[in-house]
Amino acid sequence: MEYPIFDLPFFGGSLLIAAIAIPHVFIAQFSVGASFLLALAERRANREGDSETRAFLKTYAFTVLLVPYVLGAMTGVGIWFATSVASPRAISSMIHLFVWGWAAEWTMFIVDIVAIYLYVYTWDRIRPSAHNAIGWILAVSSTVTLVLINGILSFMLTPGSWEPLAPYGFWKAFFNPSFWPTTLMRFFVSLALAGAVALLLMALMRTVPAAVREKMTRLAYRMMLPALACLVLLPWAFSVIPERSQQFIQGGAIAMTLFFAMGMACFSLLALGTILAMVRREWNPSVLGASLLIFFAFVGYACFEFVREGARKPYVIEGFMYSTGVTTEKGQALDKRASLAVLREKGVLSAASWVLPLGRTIAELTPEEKGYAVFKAACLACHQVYAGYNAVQPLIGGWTRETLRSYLDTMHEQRPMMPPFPGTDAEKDALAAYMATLTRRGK
Amino acid sequence: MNSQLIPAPDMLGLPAHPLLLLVLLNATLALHWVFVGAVFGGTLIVLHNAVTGRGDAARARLNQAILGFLPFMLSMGVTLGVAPLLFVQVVYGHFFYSANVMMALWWLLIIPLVIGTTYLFYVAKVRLAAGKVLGPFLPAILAGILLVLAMILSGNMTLFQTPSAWESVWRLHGAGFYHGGGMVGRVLFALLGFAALGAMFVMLLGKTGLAYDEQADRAAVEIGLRAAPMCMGLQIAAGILLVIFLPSEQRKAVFDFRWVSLFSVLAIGCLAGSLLLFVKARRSPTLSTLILPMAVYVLGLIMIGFARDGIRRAALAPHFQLGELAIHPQWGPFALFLAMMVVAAGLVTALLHLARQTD
Ligand code: HEC
Ligand code: HEM
Repeated sequence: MEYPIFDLPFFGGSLLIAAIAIPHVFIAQFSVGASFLLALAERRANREGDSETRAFLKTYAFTVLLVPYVLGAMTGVGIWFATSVASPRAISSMIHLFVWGWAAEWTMFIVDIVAIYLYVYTWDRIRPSAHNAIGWILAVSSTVTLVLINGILSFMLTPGSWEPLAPYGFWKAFFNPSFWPTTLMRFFVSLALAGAVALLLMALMRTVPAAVREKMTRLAYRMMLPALACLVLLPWAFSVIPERSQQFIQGGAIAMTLFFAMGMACFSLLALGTILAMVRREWNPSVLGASLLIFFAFVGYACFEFVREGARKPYVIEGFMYSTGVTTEKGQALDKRASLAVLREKGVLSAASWVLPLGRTIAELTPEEKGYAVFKAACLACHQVYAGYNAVQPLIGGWTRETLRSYLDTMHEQRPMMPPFPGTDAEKDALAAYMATLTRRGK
Repeated sequence: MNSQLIPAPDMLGLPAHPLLLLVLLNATLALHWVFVGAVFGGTLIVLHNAVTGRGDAARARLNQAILGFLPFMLSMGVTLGVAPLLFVQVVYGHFFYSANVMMALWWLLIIPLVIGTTYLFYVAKVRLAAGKVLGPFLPAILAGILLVLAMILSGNMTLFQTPSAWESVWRLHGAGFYHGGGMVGRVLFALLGFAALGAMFVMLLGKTGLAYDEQADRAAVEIGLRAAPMCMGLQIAAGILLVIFLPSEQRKAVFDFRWVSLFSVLAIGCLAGSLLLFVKARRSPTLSTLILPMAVYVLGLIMIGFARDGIRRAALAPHFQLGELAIHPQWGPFALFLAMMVVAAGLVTALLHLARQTD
C-alpha cells in the first residue's frame, strides 16, 4: 500500500528477507553463546594456568567468533535494507513504535564490536585477567542485544495488550506474552550452538591435546544441556500465540504442523544426544557426531523461525497490519489511507497509485490491466504470478472466472492465512478477469 | 507530480520532538562519516603508497598497518550508520522508503559490497603480512567499490528529497539509479571529506605508534599531514560550488539568513579552521597539536549534517513540513536509551582501559 512495490522475480519479498535474516540470526545467536563459552573457559584456564586450553580458545575466538561475526553484523544491517524494500509500511510502524528500543540495542552493538576486536587482537598481549574481563563484557553486551531484539520480534506475533498510541504502549509491546519463553529459548539455543561448534572445531583440529579436549568437551556438553528446556519453552510459547496460529500448527496448515513437530524432534534429539554422550563419557566426539548436533540445533531453530513467520499470516503485525500493509480496525482511527474499512469503500487502488502503469489513470485501464494492478496491491506480498514463491497460477489451474470471482468474497474465511479482500466489488470483478487470463479455462 | 504518489507520514507519529530526533540523527551521522571516511581515505592512502612507494619497506609496513585496521573501521562505520538509519526512518520514512524501493537493486547491493570489501581488506593485509608485494590493483578495486557505495548512498538520499524525479526513476522498477538533483556534487563533496578523514586516521596511527615501527610511523604522519589540508581545501571549494549549483529553492534556503545559513557558515568555518590548524601543526606535529584540528573537523561534520538537513527540508517543503507530524513522546523508552548510552560509553572506556593492561 502507498509505496511502490518491488517485485523480485520468483523469490518475492518474503524470501528475500528470509535469505538475509537466516544467516544473520544464526551467526548473531551463535556469537552470544560463543562469548559465554570463551569467557567461562578462559576464566578456568587462567585459574589453572592452562596455556594449552588458552591456545585452543584463541583459535576458537578468531576462526569461529570474529570472522563470521563480521558477516553477521553486516547481514544484520542488511535486514533493515531488505525490509524497507519489501515491506515499508510494516517497518515504518515498527520503527515508530520501537525506535528507542532499537537505539538502545545499537549502543550495545558498538560495545560488541569494540569488545570482539579487542578480545581477539589482545590475546596473549595483555594480563590474562584483563583479557578475560573483556570476554565477560562481550558476553553481557551481546546478551543484552539478544534480549532487546527479541522483545521487538516477539511483539509481531503476540502484541498482547498493546493498542496503538495507548499509554505505556512500548512496554506492553516489548514485554508481550511470548517475550519470556522466546527470549529464554533463543538464549539456550545460542549456548547449544556455541557448544556444538566447539565440538566440531576440536574434531577437525587434530593437534588439540587430549586433556584440553576432555575439558572443553565437558564444558560444551554442559552448554548444550539447557537446550533441553526448549521442550518446555516451545509449548509455553505455543500456548500464548493467537488461536488462529495454534490451529495452523495443529493441522490447519500441514507445513506448519510438520515444521513444529520437526522442531520439537530436533531439540529432543539434541538433548538426547548430549545426555547420551555425557553418560558414555564420550570426550572425543567425531566430526560426524558434532556435525549432527549442530544440525539438530540449526534445524530445530530454523523450524521455530519458520513457524513464527508462518503462524503470523495473514498479518505482519498480529491483529494490526496485514502482510500487504493494510491495517485492521485497530489501525482504522489513525490510518486515513489504507485501513481495510477505507479501502473497501474507496478501493484498494485509491491507496496504491504506484501499481498503476505510469502516467495512466484508473479510468483508462482495461479490466484485465486494472485486475493486474489490484493483484500487485493486494496479493503480490504473498504470491508470485506464474512460478516461484507461492505462485498463484498453478493454484488456480482449472478455475473459471466465476469461481475466482466468488472465491474473492470469502478468501479469508476459506483460507485464514489470507487477509480479507481489501477493495470494492468492481475491483474484485477486475481481479477475477485478470486471474482468469492465467487459468487453463481462461476467459 | 501526482500528490497521491507520496505516502502519508506514519500513523503512529513521532516518539519524541523532531528536533531531538534530528540532533541524534546528525550527531550519529557525523560518527558514521568519521569511520566510513577513514575507510575510504585510508584505502586511498594505501593505493597511493602502492603506486608511489614501490620497494619502500616502511610504506609497505604502513600499508599493512592501515589494512589491519580497516575491517574494524568498516564494521564500526557500518554499525554507526545504523543509528542515523533509525532516525531518518522515523522523521522522513515515507520519503526514504519510497526512494529505497525505487533504487531497490542498488540499495540491496550495498550489503554484499560491504561484506566483499571487508574480506578483501583481509586478503590485501594477508598478502603484505606474508611478505608479498601489494600492487595497486587490489587497492584500486577497493577504492572503486567504496566509491560505488558512496554513490548509492548519495543517490538514494538525493532521490528521497526529490519526489519530482520519482516517476522517471521508477520506470526501471527498482533497478533505477538516480544521479540528478545535485547528487554528483554531493558525492564529490563527501568523498573529498572522506579523503581528509582518511589522512587524519593515518596520522593518528602514526602518532599513537600503531603503524609497527618508527619509520612507518613517520611516513604515516608525513603523508597524512600532506593530504589532509589539501583535501580540505578542495572540499571547501567543492562545497561552495555545490551550493551554487543547487536547485534554486534549495540554494535560497542557504541564503535566507536563517538556520541553514548559520550551519552552512559554521560548517565552512570549521573546515577552514581545521585546515589552518593542520598547516600550523606541520611545524611540530605532536599528538596534542593534531587532536585539536581533528576535533574541529568533526564539529564541522556535525554542522554539515545540520545544513544538509535544512536544505533537504527546503527541497521537501512543497510536500512536507516537520510541523505536520504528530508527536506522541515516549519518555520511558527514551530514558532507557539514554541509560544504555551511558552504560555503553562506560563499557567502551573500560574496554580500552583493559586493553592496555600489559602487566
Ligand atoms: C498474507 C498472505 C496472502 C495474501 C495477501 C494473499 N494470499 Fe492467497 N494464499 C496465501 C497462502 C499462505 C495460501 C495457501 C493457503 C493454504 O495452503 O492454506 C494462499 C492460497 C491462495 C489460493 C489457492 C486457494 C486454494 O484454496 O487452494 C488462491 C487462489 C489465492 N491464494 C489467491 C489470492 C489472491 C487473489 C490474493 C489477493 C487478493 C491473495 N491470495 C492474497 C497467502 C496470501
Ligand atoms: C552498510 C551500512 C551503512 C549504513 C547503514 C549507512 C547509513 C547511512 C545513513 C542512514 C545515511 C544518511 C542519513 C541521512 O540522510 O540523514 C548515510 C549517509 C551517507 N553514508 Fe552511509 N551507511 C552505510 C555505509 C556507508 C559506506 C560503506 C559509505 C562509504 C563508502 C557510506 C557513505 C555515506 C555517505 C557519503 C553519506 C551521505 C550521502 C549524501 O547525503 O549525499 N555509507 N549513511
